Amino acid sequence: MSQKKFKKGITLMVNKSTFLRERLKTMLRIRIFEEKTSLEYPSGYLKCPVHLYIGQEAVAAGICTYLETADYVTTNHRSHGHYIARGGDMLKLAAEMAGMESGCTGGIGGSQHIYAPESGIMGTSAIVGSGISIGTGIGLGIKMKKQNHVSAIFLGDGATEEGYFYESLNFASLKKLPVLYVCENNSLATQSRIESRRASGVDICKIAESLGVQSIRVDGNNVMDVAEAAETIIQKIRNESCPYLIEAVTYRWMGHVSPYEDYGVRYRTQHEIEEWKKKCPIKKLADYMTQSSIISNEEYDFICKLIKDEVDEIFEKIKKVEKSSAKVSAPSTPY
Amino acid sequence: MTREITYSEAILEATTQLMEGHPEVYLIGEGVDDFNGLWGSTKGLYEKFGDQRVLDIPISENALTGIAAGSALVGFRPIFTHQRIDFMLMCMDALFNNIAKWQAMTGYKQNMPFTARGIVGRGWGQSVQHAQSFYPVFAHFPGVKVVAPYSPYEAKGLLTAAVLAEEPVIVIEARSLYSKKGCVPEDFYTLDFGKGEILRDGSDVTIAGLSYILEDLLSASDLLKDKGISAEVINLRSIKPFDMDILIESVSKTGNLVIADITWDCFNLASELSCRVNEQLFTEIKRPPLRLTLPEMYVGASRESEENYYMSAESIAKKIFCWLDQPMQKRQALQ
Ligand SMILES: Cc1ncc(C[n+]2csc(CCOP(=O)(O)OP(=O)(O)O)c2C)c(N)n1
Ligand SMILES: [Mg+2]
Repeated sequence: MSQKKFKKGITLMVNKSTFLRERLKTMLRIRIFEEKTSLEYPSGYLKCPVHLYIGQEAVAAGICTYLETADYVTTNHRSHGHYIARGGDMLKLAAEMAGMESGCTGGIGGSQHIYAPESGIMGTSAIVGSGISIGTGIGLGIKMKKQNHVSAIFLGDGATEEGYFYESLNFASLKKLPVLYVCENNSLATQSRIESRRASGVDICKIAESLGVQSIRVDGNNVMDVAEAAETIIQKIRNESCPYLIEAVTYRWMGHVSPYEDYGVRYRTQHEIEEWKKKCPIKKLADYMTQSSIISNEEYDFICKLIKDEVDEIFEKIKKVEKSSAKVSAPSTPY
Repeated sequence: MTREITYSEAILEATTQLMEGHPEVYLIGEGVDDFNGLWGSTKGLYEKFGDQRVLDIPISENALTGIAAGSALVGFRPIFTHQRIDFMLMCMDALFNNIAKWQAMTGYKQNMPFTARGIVGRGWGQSVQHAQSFYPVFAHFPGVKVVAPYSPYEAKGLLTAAVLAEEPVIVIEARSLYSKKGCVPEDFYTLDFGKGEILRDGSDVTIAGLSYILEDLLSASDLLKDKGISAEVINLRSIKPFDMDILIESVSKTGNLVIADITWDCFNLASELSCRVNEQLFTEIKRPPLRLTLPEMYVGASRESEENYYMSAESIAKKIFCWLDQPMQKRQALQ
């Protein structure tokens, strides 16, 4: 990694190492939390559909690095990574999946409807593309209040096919809204590959540019690349109040809406999955850190163990409470 | 002080007072800044409050509805206007997959103050796509309030209540009522949701209706009076929540219920309320309720096709007279 990549204070080895350690921990938290989710799923107490983020951790971890507490994040159906990278309480997320009142959405939303205003997540829609408008509107609100917060929106490649994408980017560009669009291009939308949804050569960044929104494509499996782009761009959005799009190219390892892997299905080959696993974002960073002696193998294992213990404890707690029954009821609206 | 102003002036006055008293209220929609100001209902607001609070928009109703909702999540109270209600079908996803459900999707922890104004453009050859009043589509969804002001007094009080509500409200306005005058207090006030109003006392038959049809119902009740029939005319005013109490009380007295609607025959307020009154007053009512609705077809532009399509005071009075003329056996209580 070149010096150029980490300017402004993190060029110092001590800061850089803290910085990378934090990114590593965030990615590991997401990974280990979701692996545990997958493992516990057959027990039946996590009673909602889950869209796992495994394989894409570098995007959330890289972007959220440069967001401040008062900034806003709009997530989507694949929300766990964004929530955890924003510092969201994993216990509340697990509780939410178990349908408990102590869940971040009071047990009413499940995995697809995360609510964490303390992390700037003001509610989550699982309707593909709709969050793009919500986050853009948060940007409008920020602008109208003359604040200098940023509204970051995570969206998939599939979401760029919805009208919301074009309409929202057009408006954000017109009104110069402080919005960061983070398109996580995993080339998949459910069991559909991007080649069957877009003519070849269509470029998401170019679409954004044609609407007057600047854009950049980054390696979404390299947290340092994502963070580097995020640092400059978020600063620019904050200073100039303008929208920006980052396309992070990455890949989802697990089934679309499934706690499990989906080897042997028609839309992708095992070979493709294996190739992407070689580009594992966590392995990439960990290798870099060990090779540059920022971290030892022992320390890496120790960090993994600490997080694993934390996650195990969370799910144990949930299991116990869940057994002793949790009731949630939604108020009905009068008519 | 109370004085006579028009329906559109009442809307304008409500909006002005809301914007003066509440910095978080803003107006958004196609043409809100036009020189004629949506037939007077937003006239002068652009000049008074500027382009930060009176936002003309690109022709992107769906995303802009989502964007307005996003701003509501950070403290704003948007009033989203539609020159014609017909265009609201473009925003069905934003309105009902998102806005209507936002409170539920956040575990009822996040409010969604969002007002949409939809104008029914009946008359003068508006033809197939520009003369609809499909409010039942909106009223179907839990989590949304729907009101249909008839008088200028209601136009002001209900819009004010809508904008100050913590949940989404859709206001159905009738273009044909815009120039009608009525007494309106100068002061700021709100009207309650879920409350109807007796426009005329009577003892033989209850005739309920909403919005523009009430003019015809009042004239029809005059015609019926000439025939010796005393009709009680009820303005339903609030579609959802609806006022069952006022209907039950009136029908308990008259034993006969007619409901006149402003939309097509199936799945509307007339069907809903006649069913409910039937359920509650099964043994008291003298005959099954009469529903007066628009035919299951689309209106054409020509004078003749409009005349055939819409009801008139004469046709309403005639139908009610014939209906009352048929002898009916009172139903027996079920053993
Ligand atoms: C409007 C809408 N259409 C379809 C779906 C079903 N659906 C859920 S997720 C998804 C794929 C979305 O793909 P993408 O935006 O690339 O996100 P990813 O799942 O890859 O993270 C689809 C089609 C939906 N939820 N909403
Ligand atoms: Mg995708």
